[in-house]
Order: sequence, then C-alpha cells, then structure tokens
Amino acid sequence: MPLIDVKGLNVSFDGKKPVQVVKDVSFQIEKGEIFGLAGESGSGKSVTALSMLGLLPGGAKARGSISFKGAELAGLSPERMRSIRGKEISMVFQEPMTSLNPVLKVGYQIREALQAHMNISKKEADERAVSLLRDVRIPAPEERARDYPHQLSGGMRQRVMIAMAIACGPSLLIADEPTTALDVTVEAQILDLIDGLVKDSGKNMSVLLVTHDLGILAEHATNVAVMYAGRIVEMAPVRAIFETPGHPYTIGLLESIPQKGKRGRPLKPIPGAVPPPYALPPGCKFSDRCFFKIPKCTEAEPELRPSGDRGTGLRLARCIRSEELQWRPS
Amino acid sequence: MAALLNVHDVKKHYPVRKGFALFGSRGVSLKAVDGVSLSVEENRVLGVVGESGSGKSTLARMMTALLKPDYGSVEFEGKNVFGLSGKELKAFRRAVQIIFQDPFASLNPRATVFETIAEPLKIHGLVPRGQIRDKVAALLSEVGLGPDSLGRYPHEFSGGQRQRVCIARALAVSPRLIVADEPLSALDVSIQAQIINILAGLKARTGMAYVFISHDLRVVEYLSDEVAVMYLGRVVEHSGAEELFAAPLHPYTAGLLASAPGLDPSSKPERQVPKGDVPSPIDIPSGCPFHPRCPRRFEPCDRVFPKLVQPAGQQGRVVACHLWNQYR
Repeated sequence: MPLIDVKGLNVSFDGKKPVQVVKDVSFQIEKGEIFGLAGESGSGKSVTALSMLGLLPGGAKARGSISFKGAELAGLSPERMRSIRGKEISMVFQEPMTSLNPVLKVGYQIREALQAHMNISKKEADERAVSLLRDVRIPAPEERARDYPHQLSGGMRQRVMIAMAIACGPSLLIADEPTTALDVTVEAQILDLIDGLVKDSGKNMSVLLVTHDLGILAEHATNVAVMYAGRIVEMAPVRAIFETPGHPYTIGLLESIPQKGKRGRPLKPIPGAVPPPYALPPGCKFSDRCFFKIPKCTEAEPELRPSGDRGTGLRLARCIRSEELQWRPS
Repeated sequence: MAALLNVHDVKKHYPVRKGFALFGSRGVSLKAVDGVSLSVEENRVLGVVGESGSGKSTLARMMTALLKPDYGSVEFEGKNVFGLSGKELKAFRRAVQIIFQDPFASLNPRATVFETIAEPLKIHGLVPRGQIRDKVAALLSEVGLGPDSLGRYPHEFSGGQRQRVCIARALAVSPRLIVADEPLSALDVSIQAQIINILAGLKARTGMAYVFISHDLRVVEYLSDEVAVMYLGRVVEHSGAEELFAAPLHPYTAGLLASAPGLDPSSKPERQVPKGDVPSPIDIPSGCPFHPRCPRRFEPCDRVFPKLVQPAGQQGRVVACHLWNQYR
C-alpha cells in the first residue's frame, strides 16, 4: 500500500466564473521515497500540495480522494486534520523568514510544535528541540535554540523550519520550493540534508518535493510528476523523465535549460507563455505551444495513460503521440 | 583588443551602525565591493557570478555610473565616467544600458509600451518624429513582440513579456554595452530560454558587449566568453568561460559548480559543497574571506589575504587563493 494515494483531485476557486486550477490529479507516494512535483508558475503544483494538508485558502473547492495510510483525508473535520497536520504530515515552505515567528526564540517555536502533538514536559521538549537542531546539522545547537530568527542566516532558518517539520516524526514531509530563496551552495546543503533525513528514517519518512527546478529533481527524486495548466502531463521514474521523456512539454523544459558543456548551442524554448486558467485551448491544454501538434490534438483532451517502458521504467503521459517522441539527451 | 569599459580597483563601502544606540553602537562598514578590477571588450560577454552579498549588483550600478565608487575608477573608452561633461555623459548613457532583475518594478505602470520605448529615442533625438512609431514597432519585433503591444500597459503583460519590453527599451539607443543584472531570475524556465536566445541573437547580430550578472551558473556558462566569480565584494577567480567551467582553480568556484544541479539522474557526483552560509559583508572573515567555508584551507588562510595572481602555466587566468601562489 502506498503511503499516500491521491485520486482524481480537482480544485477550483470561486469567483464570478469559477476557475479550475487543478484537474484530475492522481499520484501515489511510496514509503521512503522522494516524489518530485515539477511545474512552472501557475501549474497548480502548490495548490496540489496545500490540498494534501487541508490548507487551501477560503473560496477554494476541492473534490477527490486523498488516502493516507489507508484512511481518507478528504472531508475530515478541521480538528481531526489539525491532529494530523504537523504530526503525520508536515510542511516546509519557500520563505523561512515569513514562516517563523520573529518575536519568539527558535527553540521555543520547535518546543511549541512538539507540545502541540505530544504529551511531554517542557524540559523534555527543550531537550528534544536541541537534538532536532543537531539532527539538521546546526552547529552549537544549545546556543542557536536561544536565538531569534533574525539572528540566523537564511540557510539556518530553513534548517530550523525543517527541524520543526520533522519534530514529531512525520511520515510525509511536503517541501514546497524549499530552496528557492537560498543561495546555490546553501541550496545544495539543504537538499543533501533532506536526502539524509529520508535515508536515516529507514523508509519511515517520504518527501513530496515541489519545485520549478528540474535539476533538483534529477538529483534527488525517485519518481517525478510534471504538471502543466493544473494537470499532470507526465509521471514516471526519474530516469524516464530525463532520459526518455514522453511528453512534448517535458522535452520543452529540458531543452530550455542550458547544460554543462553546451555553450552557444541555441536553446529551443517553448514558444509563448502559460495561458491563464480561464483561457486554456480546447483539447490538449499544451497544444497551442506544442511543436508536435496535429489537428486531432485540439479535438479532445488526452487521458493520462501508460505510454510504454523504454528501458527506463513505466510512464504515464497525457499525449496522444507520446510513443512517437524520440528525444534523447544529447 | 581595446577595452570598452574598464573598472579599476573600485570600492563601495556603506557605513552601518551595529548594536542598539542606547547601549553604545559602533560605526562599522559594509564592504559591498572591495577592490574590483575588470574590463569588458567589444562583442564579448563578461559573466559575473556570485551569491547574495557578493557585491555583483553594486558593481553593476558602478559600471553604469548609477553609483559612484568611494575609490577607484570606471573608464569608458579610456575616459573616467565620473568626470564627463553633460554632453559626454549623455553619450555614455546612450552607449551603456542596464537591464534590471525585476521587470515589474522597472517599467512605469502609467506609460504604454510605446511611450516607454519612444522616450529614449526622443531624448537622444535618434529618429525623426514621424518615424518613431515604426522604429518602436521594429524594436518590439526584435524581441519577439507584435505591434499590437504598442498601446498596452505593463500590467497587461506577463513577466517574460515585460522583460522583453525592458530589453527593447535598452536596445532603442543602439548601445555598445548592456549590463544585465539577474535579468532571468524572476522568470519561469521556459521563458528564461526565450530571453537567453534573444540576448545571444542580439550579440551575434549587433556586436554588442554584455556584462551578464547572475547566480545561475548554467546560464552564465552558456552565454559568457569570460567569467568573474565574486565572493564578499571581491573577484576570487577570473578566466575564460571554457577553462573556468572545465577546471575551476578556486575552491569556491569548484564549490559553486558542485552545488549546481545537473540534469542527469544516473550520475550524481560525489561533491564538496562549501560548508555554512555566506558571511555578512559587515563581518568579513580575516585572511581569505572564504577560509571558514573552504574544504582546502591550510595554515596561512585565516590570517594572510590572498591576492589575485596568475598561476604558473595558466595564461589569462587569475585566482585569489593560497593554493596557487608561493605558499603552495
């Protein structure tokens, strides 16, 4: 049984005209894996992550099933959801400064997370907080626990956020662009830290890693789903995504990234821009930007369907011509 | 080849107060840029790489004479840009243009695209009045925007389209050098590639020079002829792009390269990522500023400042690291 099984998730926002921002999203995360959710702005990746925590903003309507360890999360009471959130499923956000309370010491904030879900004394919680800071490789954790967030660097703050997120030993950590606000060298440290925590957990913790940076997923994810215009357009083991992509959008993203040792070779960007959710083309939602389009593409929206194993693992792709794609990394 | 722009030993320090005034604060200085010398030649792209606090944006502002250095000089075609007469300064402003990171903040929200791009043409009197509209439309098509954009306002455009407008505005005056300060970091990957292709195409067609400032090594490698790596206000390594990316000399450059993710899931190299965070430019470490994070530090590093030197057998490359000078 997978750790979490999302089936047919649909999210729309109210308004004069309701806008659907997530459409028919289904995926499973196995125990102990890092599952990558990739997409550009407006692809629906963050909304998907938020709906798994029951944290959608007011005015959002979600349909579908989210089964976590065999129990249904959709439709849970806010109280029940609160007892799971932060304990069983926790989250790390993009901007560590706005996610920490600036007037409380970081040790206190970690203690608060522990005491919210566990019946432990203040002293025990304080000791746990220091050992958590040590787990996320913060030097001199006893002293740092007494610091306020502004006394820490961006990388240290994100480590504190991770310490809080893993405080109650969650089975699933959702990390939404956890390194976007950080410098490259610090980004690499934080991602290596997350890798290490997953390995050390002995399959007891999985991670949903949401990012716009495919490079991060190439190095850290086991399976990857690529989202476009609120839909998963391709989902496969990481090697399949990067070595034998089965959707023109995935290929477009790979062709957009300058690669080592390829100086001066013209990039092949995807033409145009992501259309707003109320102005998507008929049929395949990527058809207006696709290099591989045929008239049939605009007739009906393709299903996310199995499109064969090319020696790199089974994939699902939302493209009627997926099998014809011959792209290989050069 | 003669240098177009020459920056010689520029420094920019900002006074800051440290501590709470009531309990006796002390004045210290934030060394944003601390002695940088670089030059840009015609039809070349100089990439400047660095993390936050490296001084790359301050350097961009000094190169474009938007900010006066406390020390050192900025020369354009051999003339000190801070000693130019009004007329000469106007010519300099025409010759050197800047593109900023945030295309949302760098366009006037009340001006149409036509007004925004026509303004520099009028100021410099480059095109007869009657032909301005055609010229603006031609500039827009150069960056891949149609004439239907002319009467529209910035808020009607996406981030990528706005950055195209900013590029068209910079191009309007046919500059010789464009300083682009993180022009891609506010944009999505697929849009970044569109802008990269526009910049590369312009260089090939017009022979323009660029200073391309970025934290993204993949993009810098792709676009640059030579690269300067900055750390805490100084250049730590400067060399041809190919050599630098093939075999970095400075441990910090090596660390940056190791940190940038590649796109090949089946090869995850053992990497040496620099420890810790970039220190604050208010408290720059003694000796080599990189020594607290350096995996290869040794005896002199925490007390002796390494000068930029050309290592033996490394023609055209300079590096500021004790590994490469007499201490080796």
